[in-house]
Amino acid sequence: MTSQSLTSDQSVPSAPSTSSGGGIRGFFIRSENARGYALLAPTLILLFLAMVIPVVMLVARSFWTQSGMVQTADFSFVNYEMFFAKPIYWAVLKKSLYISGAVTIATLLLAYPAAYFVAFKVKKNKLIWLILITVPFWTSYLLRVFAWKLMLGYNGVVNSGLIGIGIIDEPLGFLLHNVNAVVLTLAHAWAAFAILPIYVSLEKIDKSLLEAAADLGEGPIRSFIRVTLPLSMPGVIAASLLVFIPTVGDYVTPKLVGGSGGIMIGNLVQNMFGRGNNWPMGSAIAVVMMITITLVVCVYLWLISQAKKRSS
Amino acid sequence: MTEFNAKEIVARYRSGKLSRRELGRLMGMLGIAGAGSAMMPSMTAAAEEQAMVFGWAGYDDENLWPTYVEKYGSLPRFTFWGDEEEGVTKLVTGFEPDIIFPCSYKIPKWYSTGRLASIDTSRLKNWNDILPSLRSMPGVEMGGNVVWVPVDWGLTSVVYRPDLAPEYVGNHSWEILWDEKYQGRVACFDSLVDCVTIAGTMAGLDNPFDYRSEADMEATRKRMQTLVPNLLYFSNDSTSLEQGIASGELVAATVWNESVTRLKAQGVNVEYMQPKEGGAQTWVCGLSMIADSKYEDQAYELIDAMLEPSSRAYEIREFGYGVSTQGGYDLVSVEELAELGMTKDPDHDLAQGTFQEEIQNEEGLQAMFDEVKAGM
Repeated sequence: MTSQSLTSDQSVPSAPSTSSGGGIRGFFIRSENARGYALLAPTLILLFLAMVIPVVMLVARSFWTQSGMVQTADFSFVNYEMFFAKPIYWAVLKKSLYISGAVTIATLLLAYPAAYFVAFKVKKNKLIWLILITVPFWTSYLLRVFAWKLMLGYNGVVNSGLIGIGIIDEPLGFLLHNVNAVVLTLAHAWAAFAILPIYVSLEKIDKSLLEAAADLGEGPIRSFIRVTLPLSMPGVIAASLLVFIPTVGDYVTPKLVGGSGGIMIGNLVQNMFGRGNNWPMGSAIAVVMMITITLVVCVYLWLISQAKKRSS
Repeated sequence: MTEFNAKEIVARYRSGKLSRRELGRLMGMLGIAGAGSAMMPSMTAAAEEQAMVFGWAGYDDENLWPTYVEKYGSLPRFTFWGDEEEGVTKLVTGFEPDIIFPCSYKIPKWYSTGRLASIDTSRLKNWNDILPSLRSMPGVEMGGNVVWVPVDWGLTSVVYRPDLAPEYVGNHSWEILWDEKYQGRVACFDSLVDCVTIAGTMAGLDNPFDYRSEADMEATRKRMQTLVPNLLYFSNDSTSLEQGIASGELVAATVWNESVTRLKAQGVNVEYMQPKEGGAQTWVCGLSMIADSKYEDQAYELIDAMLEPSSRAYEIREFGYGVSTQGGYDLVSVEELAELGMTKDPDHDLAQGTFQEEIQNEEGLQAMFDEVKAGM
């Protein structure tokens, strides 16, 4: 980026400089970089205030220590040592990654057909379909989780429905309060985040490519696997990241539908900031979690780039 | 109004009719204390410029603060905590309520924040109505000053369905929580003092509130390791626990006795245990003032309002809790009290159970609790 932008910078003054105005206005007109940053400024300021400062505070605090009510701001690795010395943290983090992985796969499997349908089969009123997909998002996240308690609960919709049509006599207890319920609930709660990016990349596919595939004798399944799916991969990858990253740290869902052993890394962080009363340790857990997620995502993207190279 | 179910919550939320109290319970259960007041600006607007009470969900009832409501026309502002540990943390990080609602076992921790005001008891006209034994109990005075006013007391024990677990009729035991026959049909508070200490009792600890010895901790851990897989869930939400018991999803669950009062009022066939291992757990809760409150006069008026005989009698009848004042007991007949499992003598009643004390090595116990939940 550097060499190119530098040369383009130098070419700016030679461009017809309509006004030779001095001062700040002139500076903005002459410098493309300055204009770019000026346009970015609101975003950058917001990012700095709402993202950079809190993360720096979090990282700084993770090196502090706390005993009782008192936090000591001396640099120390004690929280990180604790993280790796006690098996609980790593085990729960691993479990959270597995759960989020399962959620991501479940969400993609559910979202792809929906996106495919809207992109290819819906001819009229696409906008209405897209709005319908986002309807669940008009209620709060908490209520969407709660809704699954109603669906899967002991006297819930599923159980009373099955009893009503005489398939079972007693309510099924295994629907709620376990890991499967967490995966199902999260997969539904994040569905729109997967459907929309996949829809966009499917919508962009040039329909003449599919016609060409058909002309060349490909059946519907083979043309899906060899044309549609590869061309929609950018949307699938974006969707998987949008779902995976935020769900690792979720704590409300496991608390509500996860049962007695339903604990994820977000619950441990929350405990440390709440009743555990050890903010530095909570910060350290959060930092390790963020680094781990970053690494997992990097490996994922690297694997994808390798796969791309091999296929091309 | 307390026996709402989740479906109703959703419906009421959608129509904007969810009350602060219900939302507070919902939020408190999730550990999002305070979200209720933040999300309901229109409802708290009327209470602007009033003292704020920070405490347990469910006490935002006009009948509990009669003289205050008469004078100011509305309730004070309320914010709820999920549990007291979380409340302490919130106070430490700069939250500014005027009145808090701690229980005796937690006073030392609240006091250590340095934010409890010393209370001038001569400004409380009902102070002398408090029963002498409660007025002088540990926690009332810290550092030579009165910092806490006892208000009510109650029990933590197991409520169960005698129709579903008949073998426990006349054979009350905490063991029902561990009973494999009811695996996945029992629940416990998500709390150290109201659940983990039960495992301590069952592990045979001399003092189930003291976890400074490694041996005691490990014995309790063993008990918790068998408890967690037997439970359907942990919850601090009384409503969820009550619904579970009422529907038969749960055979037994730890609850405070107000839940039993409500369940019986709904006609659910339940019994409250007086477990043979040490009896029910008992606790006393009360009000403290936060130092340098902007609304000091209102804070005194609030404490006095809650000590009013009519408020105390209301709490006995509606919550089934015991109270701290003679005036409250005077308004309720012996028969009514007997129906609620109480006498006119709280000392006698409290002595029937195990009195909850300050937990020693709380951090270690919390860490153990988390580890066991994570399967360790």
